[in-house]
Amino acid sequence: MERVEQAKRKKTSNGLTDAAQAYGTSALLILAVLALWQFGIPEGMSSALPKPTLIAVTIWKIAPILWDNVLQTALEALLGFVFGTLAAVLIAIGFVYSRTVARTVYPIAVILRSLPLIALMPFLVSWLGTGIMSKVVLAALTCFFPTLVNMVQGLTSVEPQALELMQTLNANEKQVFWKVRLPYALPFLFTSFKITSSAAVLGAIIGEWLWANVGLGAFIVNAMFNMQGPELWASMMVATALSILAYILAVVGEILIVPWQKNGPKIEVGK
Amino acid sequence: MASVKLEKISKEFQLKDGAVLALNDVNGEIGDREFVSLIGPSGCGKSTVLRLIAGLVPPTNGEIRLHGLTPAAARSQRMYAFVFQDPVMFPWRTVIKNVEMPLEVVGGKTSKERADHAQALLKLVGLQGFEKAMPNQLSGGMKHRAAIARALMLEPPVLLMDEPFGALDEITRDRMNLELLRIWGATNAAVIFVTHSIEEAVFLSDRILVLSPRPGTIVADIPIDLPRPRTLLVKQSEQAFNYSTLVRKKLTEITIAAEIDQFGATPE
Repeated sequence: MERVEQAKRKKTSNGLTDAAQAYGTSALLILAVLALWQFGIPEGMSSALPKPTLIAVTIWKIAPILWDNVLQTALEALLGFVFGTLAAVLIAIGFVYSRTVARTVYPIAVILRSLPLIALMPFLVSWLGTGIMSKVVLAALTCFFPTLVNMVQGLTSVEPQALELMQTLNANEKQVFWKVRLPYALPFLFTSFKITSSAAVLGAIIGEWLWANVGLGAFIVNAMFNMQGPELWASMMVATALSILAYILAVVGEILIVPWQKNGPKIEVGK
Repeated sequence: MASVKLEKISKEFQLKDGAVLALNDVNGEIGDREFVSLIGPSGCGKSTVLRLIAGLVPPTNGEIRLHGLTPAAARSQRMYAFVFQDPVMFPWRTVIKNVEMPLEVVGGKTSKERADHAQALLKLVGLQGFEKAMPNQLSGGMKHRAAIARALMLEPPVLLMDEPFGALDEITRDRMNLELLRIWGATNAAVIFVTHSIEEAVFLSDRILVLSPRPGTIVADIPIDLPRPRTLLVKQSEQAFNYSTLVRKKLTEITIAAEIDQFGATPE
């Protein structure tokens, strides 16, 4: 019993608090850079590189407008993330159970991934219009490939002995999928979320950047063409924050939903 | 009635550069509640025998019966449980949920019934208090206990154990042997136990089947007439020592015979 308690204590202290401690030094470094930026840049350059305090004040001043744009971008990114992930997961499952699907879809997926997304945007706009859909699709495309690759790997690299165990239990394919393959693949899925969560934000912003009236991407372009240095920097900071937030959500989700991931995705075997 | 019967089993594996005969003309019978060990040099196909009985691989020739049923039929009736060298614990499940897995797969029981049954087995293997622990919090020996509890979940008449303690240190292995005998005593299962440890085989078994090097065939069937319950005193006894010597002699003989087969007798 005592051992279990100890182990439990160890587990909680290893989770979120550990991460906070580890990033403490990193935060200090960022503060140092901000200080240098604030006090070390000559006055003449301040229009190209506004001081952090000016950027902060600008964010505060234009917060209501920024907020509307953030919501738009976040919505596009979220929808894109959900659809891209769903498509990738479903196709990955198809891969695992059918060689034909794998052979047919994989080359297409590789081509899709190799298409420069910016070049794709005009087509998306001409097919889906200048509204939200073209951005959602672009965000979904940025999410699709990393998730597909990771999910296929997760579903197929289950330890053979685990599958044999299920075979000796006379488990059917459905049971093997739900009880072994899928939980085994979840850590792989969260690994890809760490990439795709912020990639979705980036995809949405790129989409807006080319064709949109609202959204952070559109705001950035406007600020750039109107030579509004502080506004440009403010919107960039907010976009970065949104991207980081998406990443943090993925990390927190990983810690909460697949806590066994810490020890590697392997099924426990003897030591 | 025999719980497991092997008749003229042979097994050929198709490799890139031709076929390899792994087992040749293996015959044997394991009685109800009997504890039989399979021992032989590495690569002799002793694990393959277990995998054939479990129906994980089909034999090239011959017939396998578990209580009169083919391996596939026996499996669908859950007449055997397989214990691997790796305990194969699913890290996302608590220990008790791991043990419940077989009953979950079979279905037809409420989660309360499953949990109660698993709880009783965890107690039998000495893991009470660890129900809610995660597998990665358990030591190697404890994981093996959990794996044995899981194997007993469906009360199988036959337990197939493939070097279950092969990866454990010797002290833990000795303790697990005692535990296994105690647990076996509480069940009605026949055990077929693959090992490469002579002392382990002698200590545990009613009978030891000695397999020759590839192609594996049974070259000796040695009854172990040691008193039960077996204690560490029995393990240290002269009788046990003599049995170990006998098995070791047999293994040496067949290894030398195989070498002569392969290289020819060396002239004096």
